[in-house]
Amino acid sequence: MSLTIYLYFNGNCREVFEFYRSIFGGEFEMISTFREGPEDMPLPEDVLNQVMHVSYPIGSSVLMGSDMPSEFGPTPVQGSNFSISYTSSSREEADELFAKLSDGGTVTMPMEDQFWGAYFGSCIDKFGISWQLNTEH
Amino acid sequence: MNIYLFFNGNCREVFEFYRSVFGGDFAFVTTFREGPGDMDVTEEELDNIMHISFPLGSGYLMGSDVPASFRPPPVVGDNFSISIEPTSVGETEEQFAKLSEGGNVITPLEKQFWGAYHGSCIDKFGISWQFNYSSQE
Repeated sequence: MSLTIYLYFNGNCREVFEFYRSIFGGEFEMISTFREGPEDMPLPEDVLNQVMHVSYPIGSSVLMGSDMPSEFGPTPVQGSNFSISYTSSSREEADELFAKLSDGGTVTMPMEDQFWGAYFGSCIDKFGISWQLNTEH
Repeated sequence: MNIYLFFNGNCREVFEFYRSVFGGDFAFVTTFREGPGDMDVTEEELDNIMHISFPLGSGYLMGSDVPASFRPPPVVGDNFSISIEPTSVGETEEQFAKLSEGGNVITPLEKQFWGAYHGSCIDKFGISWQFNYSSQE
């Protein structure tokens, strides 16, 4: 059984995932737009180029996402009840990822050694998604 | 990469619910009582969850409560969901039924155009889930 985080956006899904790809590297495993969906999808022309599904491997797992056209339901509401937790292989990598992820966003806890034995920091990126970076040492 | 959920005092109850759905055991659970003595936590918050880690399929579902002194209470958003890829139709149906009990089914389990048996729900604690079983048939 696999476990994945799925994020919903209001039209900027591709931009967000391109931002993440510029940080973590690699390639999208799959990306498709509503234009490639079933022809009976009742969507206006400008929505057809939005992301229907993107699947992006990061480390040993996969981050997925899509846009959420208003034809499907209410606009996604940004909460503050989750974050994506990423474990880095080194302090240097954690520092570099953290700097890039928080660029234009908000640092909620700077990278520091924590009482539980990890080098840890948290931030909210410029698209409002919350991240935690953790390095075991 | 794992998903980290924040709660306003009921983290243990939520994770016990998930354990009753998916089975298995917590890898780690600790309360603020076990944290460093200088934490700004009230007497009532000492038995709240400081960190919990629950192995779920290929990843970990993690979470904690958020003490009032740390930051404003977590707001439940709807811009993400936890996506599960079960290993059989039977498992999919059983877990989906249990997880949506007391919550809301958003899209019932059905064969979808991308070839998977798929359903989504919001559990009774406000967390969104997707089940996506890709049959090998």
